[in-house]
Amino acid sequence: MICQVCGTEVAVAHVVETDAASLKERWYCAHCAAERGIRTDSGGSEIPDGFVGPPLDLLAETERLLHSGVVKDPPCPACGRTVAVALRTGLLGCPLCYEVFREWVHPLLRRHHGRTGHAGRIPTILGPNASHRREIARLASLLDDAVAREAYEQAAAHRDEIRRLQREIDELGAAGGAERVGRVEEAGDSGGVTGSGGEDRGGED
Amino acid sequence: MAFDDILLKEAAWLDGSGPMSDIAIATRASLSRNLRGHRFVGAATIEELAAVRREIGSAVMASARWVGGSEVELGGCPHPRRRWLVEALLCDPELLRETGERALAASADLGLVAVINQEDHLRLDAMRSGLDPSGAAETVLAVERELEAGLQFVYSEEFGFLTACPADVGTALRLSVLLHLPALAQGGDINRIMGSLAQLRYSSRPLVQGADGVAGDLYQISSRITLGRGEQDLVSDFAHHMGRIVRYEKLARESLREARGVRIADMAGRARGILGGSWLIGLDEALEMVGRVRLGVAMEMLPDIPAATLNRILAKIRPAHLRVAAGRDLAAGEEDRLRADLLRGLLP
Repeated sequence: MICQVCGTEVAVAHVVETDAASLKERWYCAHCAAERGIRTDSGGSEIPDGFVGPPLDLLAETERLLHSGVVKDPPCPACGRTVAVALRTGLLGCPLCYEVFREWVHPLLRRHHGRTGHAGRIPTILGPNASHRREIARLASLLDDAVAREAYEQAAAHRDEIRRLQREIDELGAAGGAERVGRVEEAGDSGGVTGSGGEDRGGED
Repeated sequence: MAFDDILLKEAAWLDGSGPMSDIAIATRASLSRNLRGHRFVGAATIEELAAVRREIGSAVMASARWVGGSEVELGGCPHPRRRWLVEALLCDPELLRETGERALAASADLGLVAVINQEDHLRLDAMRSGLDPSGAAETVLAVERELEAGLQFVYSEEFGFLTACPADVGTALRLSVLLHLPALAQGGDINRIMGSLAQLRYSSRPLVQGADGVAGDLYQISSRITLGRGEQDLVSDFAHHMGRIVRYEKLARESLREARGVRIADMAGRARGILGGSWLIGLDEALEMVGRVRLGVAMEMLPDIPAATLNRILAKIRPAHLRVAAGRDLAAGEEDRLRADLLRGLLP
């Protein structure tokens, strides 16, 4: 997108202005934005707190965004999608959008689904480590609860199970099973994502 | 042409053989997936979509599950035919909009459908007769595992399977069921139940919104949560809640029988007469009359009519089905005449 004021520089700020009768969208380069007092730094979100409203009521959200006046909206570097477009269409443009627009996506997911962490199937190409690690995280949370409640017998059981799973992960690693889980950064692909093979990992919260 | 192949097939999942099929007509499990290394459909170039279309299309049509199936290029598919696919419950109304580099592949029994480049690169739907979320979900997940041998889907440890719409991310598994709820509607409980469903994060919408309300008392209820719970939990919750609605409908039917049995039998019998004796009938009225007949048959107030007949009528009497069957555009008023002809033939 090119700056709509000077028509030469790459736009870095997307401004939506509204009045009772119309909506105006304008793109500004850094220089033209600075002249008009529009901030274009990438630190901190200018999307107001409580911005995400009822579950996926994107039109209402768009209204609130528009009425917030000036919204900094840098596009996703992988696909060029902006939050404004994501709001209008309800759709993200690529896997990287989940990272780039995390501040918007995360509360949206919490409102819509009630939770934010994946608890479903894990692709088998990631190996048993992925499911073990998720189980360890779940047990660690239960362990903390048990300790807080001074339920030490229960805590010990959780601790032993965590150790057992960790041992299995270590053994698989020693046997040559490559650690392929976690946030995979790949050139030409989106951060935090990887391809999948597949086997069911049943439901758990 | 592949679309003509589909016209010759009958959806096995509309045969009325599944669990609770007197009230639950059919269940669908949908799984969304995107290929690794590509932008999502809405942000991809046409070349990128073409590559995705080729890659997924060849994997799907090479699968034994689609032997004898049909692949429809939606790009060159005329609007009435695309609407036909929507009316036949083989795809979403969203497909009526843009069509470039999109395709639909249906299995021989129309129980398994892959739509390529709709909102996500791949959407797999498995359909089952009656209320059978477990059977539908097992099928669609098994198909996905088979396809993964040749396709790499984008996955994040934090968010699960990534989808263009954040509402689908995680398991990217959605379940839906088509329910016939005339007794709950007549008893006035339907709004309260739909409100409760909304609180449980299920959405409901009419199969056909008529001028005077939900035509034929047919409701499509769908799960909305895909993140934070596993597939098995989602399926068992869905089965539990939809099973409860089916039981409520059964109880409401018994109350109706006690309070207004003769009235219900009269309405069913008159509806049967209208369907078998009309020469002009609009869609809303036809759906309403089919609904009354369905209720009368289920409550054994009318002679038996095969469930498959009543289920398949629901699509056959809709506008695009009539137009495709006629093979031409229909003149004003002709649709109602063709609908009546069809109904007299099916329910003489």
